[in-house]
Amino acid sequence: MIESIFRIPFYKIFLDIDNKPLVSLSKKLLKQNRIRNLSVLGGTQSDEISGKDKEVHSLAQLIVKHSKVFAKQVGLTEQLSIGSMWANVGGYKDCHRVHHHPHSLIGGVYYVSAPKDCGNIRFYHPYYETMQYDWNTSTLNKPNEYSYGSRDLEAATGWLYLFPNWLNHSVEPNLNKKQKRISIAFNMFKNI
Amino acid sequence: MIQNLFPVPVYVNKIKSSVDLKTICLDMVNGESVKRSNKGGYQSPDIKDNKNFSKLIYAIEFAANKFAVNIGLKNNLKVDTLWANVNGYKDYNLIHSHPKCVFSGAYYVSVPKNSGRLEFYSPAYEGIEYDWNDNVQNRNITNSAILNYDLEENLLLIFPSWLKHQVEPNLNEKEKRISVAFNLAAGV
Repeated sequence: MIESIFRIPFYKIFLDIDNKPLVSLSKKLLKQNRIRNLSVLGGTQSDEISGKDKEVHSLAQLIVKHSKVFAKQVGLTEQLSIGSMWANVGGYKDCHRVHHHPHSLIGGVYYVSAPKDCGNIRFYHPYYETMQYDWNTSTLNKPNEYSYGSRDLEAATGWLYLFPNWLNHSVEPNLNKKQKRISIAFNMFKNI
Repeated sequence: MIQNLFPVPVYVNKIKSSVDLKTICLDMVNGESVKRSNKGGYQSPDIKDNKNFSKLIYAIEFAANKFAVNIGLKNNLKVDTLWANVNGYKDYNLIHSHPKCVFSGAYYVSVPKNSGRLEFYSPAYEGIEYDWNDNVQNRNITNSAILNYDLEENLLLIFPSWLKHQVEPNLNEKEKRISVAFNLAAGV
């Protein structure tokens, strides 16, 4: 009998909202030069989106709502609020290096615009490096959820993804030469 | 919708040995020993070639290869090393993993009352300890840094070799906890 003794939770849901204000917000942030590039390799990452940026209010409410649902299912506190939020705009071949979101509880991303071939988001097993050593091609046959070292999830317009803040992830290059990938990323913190 | 990424698999079964492994292991205690993760107690050198353990090795390899297929690995696993552990009062094993193999495990020969549990550490141990622990309301397998696994006689456990674990002290003053541990590697 096989038992799963630890699991890493992940939450996804489609949000039926108007993305035009969020596209406008992303353009506004870049036009105002509100930029702080952290994990991006190419492309642009905005500075903090604030409460004054009205375009994001509807999305922010839904993020808080779904983060609480996720937290309850995982067994974490539901006393959550958005601690930081920023926009990512990635053009051709722009990507994000591996990173996680220290000091928060839940990390997440909402895809404002995810054109064809714009790159998946890749999550890494916490023992990714060790698995590469000992569960390599001479060991693997048909990898499944128990033996994957990483998992690629499609970036798709309108989808909200939530995950543990400590889970390493990266974003593949946007291979669409004409359209940009636009996302809003955020960290959920416990209310102080 | 919630889904789970990267579940950590452990193979669990009970098998009864037709050989008196308890007496065989206790007889080893005065012979050659090695020191690895054990704090106190006795750990034998590699006894893979000891004929007394041939049937156990056969059962381990059969189970491990079945386990391997179920989790997407090749079924070419062989026992690489096998050793006996005999732990007396307050003897325990430090946290460790088993590099350069595929699976590791233990067969529990004698598990007296209060002789300690096997503690598995989540691959996400550091992240959970650092950012989540103060905010956990209901402990479960998606938010636990450690799982204490209750042991019993004749239990066979097989788990990924990279999964860190330790063994709690044996708090039974009279009886010893006896196990046979092993590593499995591909096509040895």
